[in-house]
Amino acid sequence: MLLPTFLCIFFLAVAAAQEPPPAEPDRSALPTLAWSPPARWPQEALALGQEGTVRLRLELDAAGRVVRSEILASSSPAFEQAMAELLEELRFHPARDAGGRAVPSVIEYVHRFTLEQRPTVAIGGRVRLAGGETELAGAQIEARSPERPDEGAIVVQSAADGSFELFDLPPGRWVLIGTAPGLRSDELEVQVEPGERVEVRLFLAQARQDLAEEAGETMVIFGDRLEPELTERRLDAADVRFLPGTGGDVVRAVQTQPGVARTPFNSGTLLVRGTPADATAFNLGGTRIPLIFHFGGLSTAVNGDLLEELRFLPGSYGARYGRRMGGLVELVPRSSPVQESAGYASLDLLQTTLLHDQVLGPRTSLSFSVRRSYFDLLLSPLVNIDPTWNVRLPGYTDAQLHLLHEPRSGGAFSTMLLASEDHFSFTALSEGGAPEVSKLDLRFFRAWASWTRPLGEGWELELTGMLGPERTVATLEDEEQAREQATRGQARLELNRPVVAGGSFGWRLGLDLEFALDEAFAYNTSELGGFYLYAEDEAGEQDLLMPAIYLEQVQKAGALTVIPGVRVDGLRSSEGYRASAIDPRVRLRWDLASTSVIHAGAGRYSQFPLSREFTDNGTGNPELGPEHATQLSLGAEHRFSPELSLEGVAYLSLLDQLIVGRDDRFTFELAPPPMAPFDLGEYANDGTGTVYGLELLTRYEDPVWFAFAALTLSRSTRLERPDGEPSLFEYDQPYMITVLGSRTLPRGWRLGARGRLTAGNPYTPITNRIYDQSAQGWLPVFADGNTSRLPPWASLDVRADKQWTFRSWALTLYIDVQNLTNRQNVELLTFSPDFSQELRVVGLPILPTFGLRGDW
Amino acid sequence: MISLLLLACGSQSYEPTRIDSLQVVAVRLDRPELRAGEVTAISSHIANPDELAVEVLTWTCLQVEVEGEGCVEAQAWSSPSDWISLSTLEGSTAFARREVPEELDEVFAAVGSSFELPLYVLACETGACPIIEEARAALDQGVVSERLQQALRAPEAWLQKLDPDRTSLTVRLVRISDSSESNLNENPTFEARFAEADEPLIEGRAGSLVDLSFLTSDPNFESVYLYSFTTIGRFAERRVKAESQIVRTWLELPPNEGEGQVWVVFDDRDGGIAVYSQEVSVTQ
Repeated sequence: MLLPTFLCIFFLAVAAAQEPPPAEPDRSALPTLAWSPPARWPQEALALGQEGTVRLRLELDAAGRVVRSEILASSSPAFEQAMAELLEELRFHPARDAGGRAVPSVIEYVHRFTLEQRPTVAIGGRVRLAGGETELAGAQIEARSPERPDEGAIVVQSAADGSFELFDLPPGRWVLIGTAPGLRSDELEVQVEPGERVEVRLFLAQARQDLAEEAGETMVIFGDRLEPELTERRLDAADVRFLPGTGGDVVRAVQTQPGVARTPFNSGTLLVRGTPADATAFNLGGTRIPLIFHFGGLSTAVNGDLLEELRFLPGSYGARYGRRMGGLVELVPRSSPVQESAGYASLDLLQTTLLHDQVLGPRTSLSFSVRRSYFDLLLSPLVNIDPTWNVRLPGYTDAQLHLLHEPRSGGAFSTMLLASEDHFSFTALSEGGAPEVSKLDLRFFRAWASWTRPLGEGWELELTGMLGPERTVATLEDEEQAREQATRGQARLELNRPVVAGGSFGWRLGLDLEFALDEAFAYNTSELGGFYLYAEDEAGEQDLLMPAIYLEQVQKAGALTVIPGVRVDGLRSSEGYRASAIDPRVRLRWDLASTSVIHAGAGRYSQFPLSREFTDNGTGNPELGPEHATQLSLGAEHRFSPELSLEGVAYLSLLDQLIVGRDDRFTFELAPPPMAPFDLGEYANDGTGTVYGLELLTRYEDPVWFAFAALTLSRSTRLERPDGEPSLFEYDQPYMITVLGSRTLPRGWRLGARGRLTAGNPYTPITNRIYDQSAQGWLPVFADGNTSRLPPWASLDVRADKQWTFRSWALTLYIDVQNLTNRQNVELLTFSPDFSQELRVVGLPILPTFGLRGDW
Repeated sequence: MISLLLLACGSQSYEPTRIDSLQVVAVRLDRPELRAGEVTAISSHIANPDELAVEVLTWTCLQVEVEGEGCVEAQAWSSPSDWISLSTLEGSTAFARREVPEELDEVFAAVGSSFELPLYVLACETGACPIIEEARAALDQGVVSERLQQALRAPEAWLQKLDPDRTSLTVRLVRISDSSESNLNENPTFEARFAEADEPLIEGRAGSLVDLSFLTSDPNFESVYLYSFTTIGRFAERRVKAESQIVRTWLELPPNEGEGQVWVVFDDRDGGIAVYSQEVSVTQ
């Protein structure tokens, strides 16, 4: 406990002196210091071994409290600040008059900060350049207490030998962030115990002005932006976790971003800027993963807490990424080993999660996460009200194991094993009473690894690889109806010479090889009845090889950065199919000031047909070529203050050579099938489309508040066949509005709310019908495509979190209520069996979920 | 996933038996399966609860690639009246007649020894369907234009613009075989066995259940299904499979008095049908 030195007190004024009656003893007294809390020492002064003195004039009330103060002199402004913080808590024994009554007083008070009584060091450590032995001088170390979010950060700088010390921090969890110009920041969480010193080490990696990565429309949902002037686009991971309506799943924050349309029942697919779900790629560390959301979109297939960064690229991204003509979601695994073993276990109505980070050495850590849903086990009995059938609601399991190592020679090695399984089943009794099982199973496994190494002369080598099987199987009444499976792999070799601080040129050259071994599909669905009349059975099996090469050059001239690039993709199948695409792209970025940026992009994006589409098996068309999108965008970002920012992007995407036809085919779609006339023609690159829109996002973020408002205006149209009529894209949503606010409150509380309003999806009405006597059923007669629209969709979601912090762990309880107003949102339209009536299917009613999370 | 859910549950959807507007309930051919040169009589059973003035257009349109975009009938039949006919309702039935041309060698060469000919029956309130006026003109002129052939071949294109309460289109397939086919399908038969069968009217009290039982048989020993329709009350089940020669279905009468009509269609699922039709009176 630190006690300040009290040198002297001068009595300046007391209550009017009275001559005491001879018989009465004089009981007057001067004020004396009763209690002084531990002073918050100026950390910089302590680090430099400086002493200090502050002289003040204080007015005390009759209770001994400081009611007014004035600094008369000080040895340093830093000590004045420390003294100001101390004053509110100083307590004096009050002055007393001759009668012994407490009275107000005015005193002159001198407080001296002496080395003998300086506080103890709570955290000490060094800042070092990652991948080497160089100690970093002048690095900034910012310390924040997550348990005291209202308090500001403590900031110190590292000394010449890279060392730093933080004095007298209150016990509890502290987050340290080390930063230095031109270097990537490092973040570390430590536990401070009373009277103990914690030794830490921060590693700052060689930051690159990775403009090739950043110029464009990258939206970092959470993570560190490499460009400090764009930090207003960064969402903090902690903030994302508390977003209402996301169930604490950080990856689901992507669904709140402008440009992302809602799918019926929030089914988990991402519809980005008016393109279909399969036009958006999901990457983990630069390599493809088959899905990002489990069934129903309730949870992501990879635990977001294992990620360093989550990037959402709605369009105009660089040549590094290809094979898709829509958006991209990039999950970036952590790149540095954790410095302290920690973890958490969480439990909510949907799933349970266990995550643990284990330090294996100063440069090595191992993390694992396991999640299992159980709402299928809990809720299935509630829906099984008919004894003749048994539904097992969708469920899932996923697990990840992540090993990180930073060799002394520099660079980093990272490897992750992922496994995911989704299932859904329906059992009905046959006419003979025997159970018949219908089910859907989706499984994938991936082994992913990445190795980065500096090569000298500013060049860096990055090797990334991925390999693993995946399989999706649908079984109907004990008979396997559809299967897709393959062993997929990807290898990427990239040479990167970023623009160094003050430099003008950078390069990125990469080879990207994706392949599929024994990619097989079999759809034995032609005998299925009902409305879903799948035309023909399909089957095929082959190996696929998809090599690509890409090159980008970064040219920086003052405030202007130009990044031309090109990507060449190829596809070759073992059955003889060949296709290729050359995609030139250019992006510009103009830094108007430290607070404003204008960016623009133009480029071509190509997507190859699926195996079933080009396989020459009677149903495919081997003449198919890739689909293309020509994307144009122009955007601006401005930061009004460190807390408030606004950004806007206008975009135009011209789609051509879209593959159309065979609408009667079976697909493993995670969204409801369209109720519209089927194009039963052969596959052909006949489709075209136009998508344009405007996205606006304003964001406010300070230690207490996190809020944003997003507005998307868009229009997406298609012309399926050259002789057809143009129509709206099936998920065209002309407007989408999201408003969200989350506030940190004292005592570990946090409250948030989210409101969403979007236009309803278009649909094709049925205006008449034909009775098919041979089938004794009805055939719909549709109006022109997508000429009607469902009612607008709106939802208000709220969330409250309460955290209790204990000596070595913390407990968080939350309640997340979706659709608080219980609005009956129409999610999709079906029709009566005779197509005489429209039947509206509404979405989820008010849905409260509860959860517990314990962090250690 | 949702597709699978719908697939799994779709077969359990309730299909209504109640008819509230104009509808072609059943199209019976006597005989149901034909060889080249043979004649069949077409009986179209039509529900008309609103008692509209109705015209009935009956046509076939065979589409085989050898004949391009139009109907084969335009070339193979000698005049439009051989494959297009206009009629009016007689009671609740419209009648027509078809004769299959003798010379269909080119068609059989293209599609094999037999083919299924789509037969369309369109019931329209007078003046509600422009296609009927076009057909009338074609019959008068003796020529069916390419445009009309296109319209007859793809009725969805113009049907989408018509009022479903004033129009009804039913399609069925008619198997046409070459002369080598000796075992042609025939229509099933039935005999009403319930108490009111001999009465000209099914009478029942409001809210009561009328038991309709039939003795059925099929000359080709095929399974027979009953498909029931009514303009008053409702049937308990739309489809009933005849597990034996005696098959029953139940008509639930409404809580209020009224009059209507029922149709029970006996279908061998191979083109052969028989139709039981009777008026219903509901009393308090």
